[in-house]
Amino acid sequence: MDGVFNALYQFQVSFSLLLLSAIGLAVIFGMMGVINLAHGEFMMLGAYITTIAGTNGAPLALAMLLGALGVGLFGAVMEIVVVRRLYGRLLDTVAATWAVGLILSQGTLILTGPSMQGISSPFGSFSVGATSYSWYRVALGLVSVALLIGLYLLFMKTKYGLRARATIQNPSIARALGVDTPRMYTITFALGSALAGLAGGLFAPTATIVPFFGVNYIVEAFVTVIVGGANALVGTPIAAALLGAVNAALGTEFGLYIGRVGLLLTTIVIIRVLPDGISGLIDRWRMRPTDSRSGR
Amino acid sequence: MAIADAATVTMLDVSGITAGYGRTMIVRDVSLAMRRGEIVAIVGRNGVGKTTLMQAIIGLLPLAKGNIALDGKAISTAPANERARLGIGYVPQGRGVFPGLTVEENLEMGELINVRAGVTRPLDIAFQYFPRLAERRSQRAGTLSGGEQAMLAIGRVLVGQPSLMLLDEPSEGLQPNLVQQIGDDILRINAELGTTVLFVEQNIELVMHLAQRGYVMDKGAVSAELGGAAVTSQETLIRYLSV
Repeated sequence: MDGVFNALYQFQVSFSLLLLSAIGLAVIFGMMGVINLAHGEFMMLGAYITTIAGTNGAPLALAMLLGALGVGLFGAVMEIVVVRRLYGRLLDTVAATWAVGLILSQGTLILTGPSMQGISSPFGSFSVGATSYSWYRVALGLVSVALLIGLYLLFMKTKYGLRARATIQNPSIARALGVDTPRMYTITFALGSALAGLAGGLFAPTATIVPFFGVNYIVEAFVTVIVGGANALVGTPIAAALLGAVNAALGTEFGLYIGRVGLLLTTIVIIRVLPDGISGLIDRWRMRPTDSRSGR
Repeated sequence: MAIADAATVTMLDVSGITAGYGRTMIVRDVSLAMRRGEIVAIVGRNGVGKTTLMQAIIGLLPLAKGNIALDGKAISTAPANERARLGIGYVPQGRGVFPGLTVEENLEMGELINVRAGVTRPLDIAFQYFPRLAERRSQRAGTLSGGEQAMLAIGRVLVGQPSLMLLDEPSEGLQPNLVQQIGDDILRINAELGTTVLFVEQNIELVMHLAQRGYVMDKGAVSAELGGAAVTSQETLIRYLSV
């Protein structure tokens, strides 16, 4: 029984780590086709804002919200100043966002020094059998699920979501129907950035606050997005669940190192078989011709 | 402006426009004018710039020269989204439905058209003209037949109740009975809603069925204007359209 609980706990820890790391990157990649190499530094920025607000007396939830909003605003400015000029030039965008990331991490190092006093993880711990578990890690799992539901509602049930989905399918037709597509891209980039900032804030109590904070999550983020494919709502959670299961199972049995090796091997196998990721497979299945397909 | 003037005043005024891709100009010095409520055809062989002209009018291509005015207001530099909001409903060549969105979501995408007019825009107006779409409302547009996609593309702009509809080859890829049907639907829309229609077409039957007058394009320019008699004469149209 304790073993089963431990396995479930480890799974949801891995799942939420992968999902939260990846979701902002996945939204920007899936909705705009832009690879944001500053994603890790956006998470770092969110962690710093959250930590600074938290140590200055802001309640933790508010501090995290400020982290998300601050990074979202930064993302909106970056889209208008940098990314907008490079649409359709994938490699140039990669180079430019990487440059912004370097400026952010080095700038933080210069301004705040090599590390910052962190905030402690709330809620304490509980025990099942002989093992002690963190309530906060459980909370992160619940937040991940809530975030997914929120994003689903945003993209499937609001006018913004409809117009964003139409814009990725055919930007010029969306524009000819009245959608201000440049504004849609700014909003979407800001949303993806805010999600990165929120993830950084959520991880802040569990990590040391250093200028290279993002490095700890960036591999997980990219691996999850690549396995998930272009559809952030469908692909990313399935990829996080699949990779989380592999990582947790191997990690519990053979240690963290083997867990990580298993994660990367699984990724290699999946992208060899499904080059456009899990959501590519699902989209092909959804668009299959049906029997109702007949003339007028 | 007095209501009596509405029928005589120019609604769309395209004067001397030149447009193309990069430095290659496809449409050169084209002028045309439309009055409210008219149905006007643009005919011409493949590759003479008909689609490019439509894209320049909706604003997907910038003008190198010339002016476009809608209801007396200059729109030459307005982006396509602004022109749509001012009342132009654009149905592109090949329909341009969003394949991954449902029929209902595709129709909702028409809601921003003519948004400046401030009218309410229920999806029902599309179902009224194309009842078939109501049966398919939760189906993905990519799984519809060609005829249904043609109805969806027209129904989608209808939701915004545009003052001007631009149709780029509505007959493309349709069987003859469907071409006839779509033609009847467009005539009904024009008669009942007063929508002005500018359409590009190579199908002679559809031009004769719909157009009140027309323009012939050749090598990127207007080479002839067709009056009411010419545009319903099969012989004349064959002469302009045959290779």
